[in-house]
Amino acid sequence: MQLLFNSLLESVLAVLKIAVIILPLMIGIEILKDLKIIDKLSQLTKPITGFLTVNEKSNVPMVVGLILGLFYGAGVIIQSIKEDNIDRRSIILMCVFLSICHALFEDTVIFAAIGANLIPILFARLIAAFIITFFLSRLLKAEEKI
Amino acid sequence: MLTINTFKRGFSKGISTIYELAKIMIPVYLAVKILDYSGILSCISFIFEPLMSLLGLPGEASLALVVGYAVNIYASLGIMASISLTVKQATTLGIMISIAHNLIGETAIVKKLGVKASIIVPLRLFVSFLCGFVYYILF
Repeated sequence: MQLLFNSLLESVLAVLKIAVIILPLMIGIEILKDLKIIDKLSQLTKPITGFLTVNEKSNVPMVVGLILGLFYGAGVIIQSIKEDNIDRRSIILMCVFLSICHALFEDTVIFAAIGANLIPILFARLIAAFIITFFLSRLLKAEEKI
Repeated sequence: MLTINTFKRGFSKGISTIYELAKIMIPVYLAVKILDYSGILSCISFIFEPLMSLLGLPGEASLALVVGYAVNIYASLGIMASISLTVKQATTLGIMISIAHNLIGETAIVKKLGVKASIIVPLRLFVSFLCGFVYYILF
């Protein structure tokens, strides 16, 4: 019983450690959204999407997915398919990139909160997603389907 | 436009994330402690020790990996918090799980966009192991 009680206490403490990071982060992300900074940041990914030969209209879904997560990213991708007519190849490449690398800040800080190093996790994901998508972009011809 | 609603929304999203986290992490943490107490954890650890040692991880870490892949990050955090890990081991696990997690749920989303599960799941698992291994070897 003592063991269970101690464990309960420890686990609540672990949750609290993460909570003190998550709360400001979520508020910060909402601020980014409302100041339209996410749209502006999509200018920064242009060289990346260009290098990966993904349609340049993919910049907004890419940034949304990277910051807010796969679920939101996919939502924006669906929307931009309807509005901007993004080609299938670009969608596939974006999906591969985003499924390896999304919700970059949230996923990284929660591991850091329980004792992992932040920087390696952040960069391992970004670099891995970039390399894999790069190879795939050179493999996939314009009309090919996965 | 930045209004008071921005902060309210951020706060309520934060709270609901923490609630989701607690709902999963606390029971998982307790379950691992029970597994540990009953000796089952050391059996699991013993079986997976050889494979996990390739990544510089203890055998118990296999549980965090499998649960992270199948369920989500929160569940594997519960396991990671309940076993003792060095900073490097926690970072290796963090890299591996952040690359591939919640494969059932997230693959469903990607499938909606027309990418096959038979491609995305093995790809993410492969990248996850590769990155974990490279990090362990290099750092």
